[in-house]
Amino acid sequence: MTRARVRSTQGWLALLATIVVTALLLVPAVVSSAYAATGPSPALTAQPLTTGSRAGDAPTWTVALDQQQLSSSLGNRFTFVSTLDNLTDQVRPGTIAYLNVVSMRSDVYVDPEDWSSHRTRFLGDVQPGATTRLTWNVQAVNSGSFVVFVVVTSATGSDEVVTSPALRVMIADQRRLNPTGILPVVVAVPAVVALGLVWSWRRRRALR
Amino acid sequence: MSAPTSGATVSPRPGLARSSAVVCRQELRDLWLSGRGIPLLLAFSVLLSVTSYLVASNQALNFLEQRESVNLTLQMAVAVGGLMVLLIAGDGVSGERERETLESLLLTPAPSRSLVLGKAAAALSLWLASFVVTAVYVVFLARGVGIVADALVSGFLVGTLLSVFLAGFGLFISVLSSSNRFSLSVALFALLALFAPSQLPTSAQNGWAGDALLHFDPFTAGLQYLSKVIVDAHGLGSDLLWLVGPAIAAAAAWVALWVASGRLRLTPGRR
Repeated sequence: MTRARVRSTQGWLALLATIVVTALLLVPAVVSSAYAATGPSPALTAQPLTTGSRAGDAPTWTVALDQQQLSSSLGNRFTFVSTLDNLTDQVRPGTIAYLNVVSMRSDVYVDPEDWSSHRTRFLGDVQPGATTRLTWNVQAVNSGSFVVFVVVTSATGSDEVVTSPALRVMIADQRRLNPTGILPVVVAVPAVVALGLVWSWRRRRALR
Repeated sequence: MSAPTSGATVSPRPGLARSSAVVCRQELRDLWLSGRGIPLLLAFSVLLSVTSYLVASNQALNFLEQRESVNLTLQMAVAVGGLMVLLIAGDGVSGERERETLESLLLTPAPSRSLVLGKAAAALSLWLASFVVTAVYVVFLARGVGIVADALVSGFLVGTLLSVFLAGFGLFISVLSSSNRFSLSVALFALLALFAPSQLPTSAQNGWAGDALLHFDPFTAGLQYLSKVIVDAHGLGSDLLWLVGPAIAAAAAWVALWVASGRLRLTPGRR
């Protein structure tokens, strides 16, 4: 009977390890699939307006941003406005504005889709002399140094790709020991169960 | 399991309900006082703490909505709670057979089905204890958005259905196995296979076949129901169709167990 108990205990220890390993393998898979860009907009440190520029010889249109640089924290949202001016005397058909994000550090991988779920704007035909303002909502999903910029092109013309000036973004890492105040709960619950285990163990010893 | 003392001298044979209750009492004592249940519950609570801390961190960084945090924690609790029930149930008969502790029941005038019923009830107690632990985390994570009641009710509903299914399935495999290792291997393999559809990419879930698979796979269907209630804020009764799959699986597992347990032999090495 004692030997059976020992074998049983060994078996249960193995099973316990199996549970923990299996569950720990499941956690990242489930969490990574549940990521979503949500939440309130926090405070930002914005820099003054800067004028945009255009890549090309003759001024056909320009893209300007309302900020030159800003600082924020990981997970926070920020907003900036781009202004597109069609300086030509021609209609620009099928105009598209596109947001992009580039990391200034080689060890930080950036997936722009994570930063903004609405990166491509279809503007249709832009009339001569028209000004189009676009507001871009972005969430900082990595920490580090980044450049955010807007690219504009249209359905015709081989040289018609215009880029905005760079919006330089510094994102600080955020490390909270007690996020949403959950720390006492995640410590107390296992502690209470552990006390139950100690009680059970002492009771078994007393009965022997 | 040691032979139940109360009822052992009763003659003629006690009824199924009474003998099942005696077996259940003994199994509960073995599970919770002899040190099997509480270590499992401790591992469960540690795992849930890690998960909750993780989702709270992501929530604080605005990467997760509060509803998604609750859903994620509850899904983890239901899945791991079910896994523990399966492990206890899978060990139920084949483990006793392997440890040669089943033969002591030869002296007990109880039907073999009562043995299985009692063990199933004890295995399900592990889910109930897990749910109590889970409730603490869920109440904390769900506070302020008015989903505490829906989260607890839907979590209990889905977890209980899946646990009933897994208890029946695990004991069915255990009754048919002469080796504990074989029983647990088959049970864990089946559990992973049942989880697989929930991890399929969205593109593979389209069409009538994908939809049918999602509805009939008990785990995928149960977890979908939780998402509908908690994340999409549907009412508890709006998506009950998702619970048909788990209910059918539970019924099928218990019918199979009922048939198999009628042929249970208590002598060592025999199935």
